[in-house]
Parts: sequence; C-alpha cells; structure tokens
Amino acid sequence: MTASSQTVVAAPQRPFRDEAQVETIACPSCGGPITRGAFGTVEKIVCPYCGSELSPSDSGALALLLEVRRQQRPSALPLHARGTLDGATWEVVGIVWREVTADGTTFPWQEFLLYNPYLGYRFLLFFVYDRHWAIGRPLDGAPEIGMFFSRKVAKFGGKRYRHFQTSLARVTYVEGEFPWQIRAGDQAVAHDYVAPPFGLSVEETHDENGADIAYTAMEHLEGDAVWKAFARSGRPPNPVGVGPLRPNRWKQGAGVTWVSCALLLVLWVAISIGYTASRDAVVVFEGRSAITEPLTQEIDLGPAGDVTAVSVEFSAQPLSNAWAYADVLLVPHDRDEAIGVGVEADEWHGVDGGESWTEGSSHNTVTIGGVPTGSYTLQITPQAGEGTSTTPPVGLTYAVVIRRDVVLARYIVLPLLVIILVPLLLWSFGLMVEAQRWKNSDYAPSS
Amino acid sequence: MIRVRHVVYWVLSLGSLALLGLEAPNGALLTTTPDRGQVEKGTGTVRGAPIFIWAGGGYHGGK
Repeated sequence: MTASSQTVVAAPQRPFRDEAQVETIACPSCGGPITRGAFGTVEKIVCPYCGSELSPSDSGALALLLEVRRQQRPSALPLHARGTLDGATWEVVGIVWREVTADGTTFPWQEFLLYNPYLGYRFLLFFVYDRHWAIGRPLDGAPEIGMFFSRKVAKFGGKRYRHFQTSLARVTYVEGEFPWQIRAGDQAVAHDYVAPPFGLSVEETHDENGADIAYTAMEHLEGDAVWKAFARSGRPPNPVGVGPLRPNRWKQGAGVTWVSCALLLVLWVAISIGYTASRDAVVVFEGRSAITEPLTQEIDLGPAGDVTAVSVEFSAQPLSNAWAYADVLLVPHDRDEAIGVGVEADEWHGVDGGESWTEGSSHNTVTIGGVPTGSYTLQITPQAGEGTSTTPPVGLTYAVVIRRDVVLARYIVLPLLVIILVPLLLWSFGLMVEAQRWKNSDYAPSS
Repeated sequence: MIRVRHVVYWVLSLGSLALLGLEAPNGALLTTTPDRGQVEKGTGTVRGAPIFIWAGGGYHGGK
C-alpha cells in the first residue's frame, strides 16, 4: 500500500458545536433548561436544577424517571465548563459528589465527568477533604491483584500499585448526563491502589443482576493545571497534606542522588588515602619539666617555603583540683612574625549531694594550621594553680609534645558527613512525606 | 532527572573534598587560630637561651 492510497482523516478543528447553537430541552419536572452534550451514549440525565432523574428518548424528549426537589449545589467546576487537558478539549457533562466515612470522619470528593466526542469520557476528581486533584480514565483491561510482602498490590502495564484503602463510597449528589445509571444513594466498594503520581481504582457495585467491576487509571493533577485548563479566575484551593497520588518530590531523582553518593564516596576514599599518606606527623619537640620551669629549644618544621599543621600536646601530672597552662611561642629564624598559642589542662573533682563528680582532663591538644615551615626557636612558659590561686601545686610537672605535618581528622570527616548526610536527609524527608500520605490509608500505624 | 538539589549536593561535596585535598595539608581553616605578631628579647634567659616576649604590649595568651 502506498502512502497516497491511504485515506487520511483530519481531526476536526471544532469538535464541539458552537456555544450559540446549543439546543436546550426543558426539564419536564422543573422546566429548567437542560443542555445535552454527550448524546447517544447517555443513559441518565439528572436535572442540575431540581435533581429529577430523566431518561433521553429516541425522539430527543426527556422522560421523567424520578421527580426530585432539591437545590443545585456549587461544585469546584460548573456543569458544561470546557477545558483543555493533554491537548484535547473536554466538557464537564456530569457532576457526582461522593464520600466515604472512615473512623467517624467523612471524606467527600467531587467527580466531574468529562466528555470529548472523539476520545470518550474522563473523570476529573477533586478531593474536597484535602483539595487535591486527579484525572482518571477507564482502564484498558484488568489489573492483576496479588500480594507483595503481605501487602495487597495491583499490577498493570508493568507497574505495581500498592493497596491504599478499601472503602464504601456513597453518591450524595448528581447533576448532568451519564452513560450509566446513577442516583444519589448509590454505593460502591472502592479499592484504591497507588504508585504516585499514578493510581488504580477498582470499584465493585452489586445489584439484583450481579456484580459490576469498573477499573479506572488515575493520575495526580496540580490544581493550577486544572485552573489553567478550564480558564478559571483566581487561584485553585490550596491543597492540604500529601494526598494519595501527589508525587513525593523528595523521592524524585533519588537514583541520581545515590549514584552520586557512591561516586563521591569513591573519590573521598582516594583523596583521604592520598592525604593521610602525605602526612608523617613527625615529632619535632618532646620535653618534660617542673611546672615552674620554662622550656626552650630550636626546632625544625621542615624545609622553608611551605606551610603545615602543628599539634601541641600538653599534659600535667599530678593534677588534682588544679589547672596548668602553657604559652607556646614559635619564633621564626627568618621572619619577624612569631606564632603563639595557649594550651590548658585542668582536673576537678568533688562530691555533690552524695555523688562524686569529675570534670576536665590532665591532657589537652591544640592544633594550629597555616604555620610556615622552617627553623624556629620554641619557648614554652608554664603556669599552674590550685583552685583560683596561681600558686603551682607542689611536685607538678608538665610535658609537651609538638608534631608537624599532622593528620587532621576533621578534614576527612567533613566531606564524609556531607556526602552521606545529604542523601540520608533527602531519604528521611521522603519517608516523612510517605508516612503522612499513608496515615490516611488502611495501613496507618493506628489502624 | 537532574534537579537543583543534586547540583547543590555536588557543589557541597566537591567543595568539602577540595578542602580535604588542597587545604588539609595546610590546615589553616579548621584549626585554632594562633596569636601572630612580633616578639622581642626580654631580660633574662632560660638555660642560656633568651626569653622572648610579645612586642608592642597587648594581651597574648596567659592564664
């Protein structure tokens, strides 16, 4: 077959009739104008003004099935509103209010039956209780219901949906046209399965003719998208909570995060090994003396022209309810600028309220970085005292060990914390969102 | 899908790794900042060596 022999039918540019040419029929009960939208497939028409149930006849007239006197209720979208979703124009031809009751709380939602003469029907859902939106379409087939780790799941189209809840849904309000029999008070057992932002709804209805099962594929919609599609003024109602189908934004891109984490950890190991291998922590001074005696010595911090990290370990013995302190001064031989650092050790203990306590330590280490290498004169000036006095305890000695090119663990730990904690933080945020989502399900912790 | 949070994560991680690879040998950022300044020889000696004191007065350590 050649391309020229194929018959190409162009999509109509105006799938709906002009607004001005809409034919209206008066409701045989209240006389209200009823606009027809879906035509041949309609089985039931519910007058939006009085709620009377009508049946379209072949002649186009409406037969009164059940006369009802009730007021029209305002829905999130009005009947006959038109909007563009996924590039197609849809008209709201029917509105159903439904609700479920769980643990004494009623959860209402509104279903808008959307119709396009070439694409059929869709269901736009507005969950009144948390103001989330979803779009549904009849499923092309039936999902496979099974178990996964003791949780009921539905599989369809290669996707697994987790069972969210099963509830008895009641119809509380109807207006417009429907391709099925519907009236206020109808009930259906609804099994909802979720794989955000998608979901599956399996609804069972039972009557004298047997059971009817309807499968609907759902997808989350943002309120802004609905408002824009139907050209509504103002802002859509702000959603509350997570909702069963709203995507978990903390889980989006999680694969990229964890792959990045693995690569960064490999990089961290390599750099850490290189860093520690280049540090030899050479002892450049080690001395001990009575606490009243200063110490001084020439030390070498390596070939001049570089900088290094130097640690000063200070200890004083015996230290009992006393403090010891050392001024450590490094006077360079080739420059004017000296470097000084203080290091203190103290040890306190006692008995308070019958309980003994201790605090402080007779050892302390201070690390200073950015120290230019080269030759220095080291000068250590000690001080000590008991309690608040500056009189050194008798027999107190102190020791100082100075190392250059020391390994600073803090530089190794910091990138590890960043690399590990960020994904863990994102993961825990995702868990919190899921916990909030599932607390309204049949699997809430209190259920 | 690459998101802003991924870029922030990479910048933070690579920044901290750069700190480890480049700055850790110097150790100037994540350590105690010492006193720096000129010193002069004071009176007296310790085992034959001169005692240095900070020049220009001011407080430079001490308990």
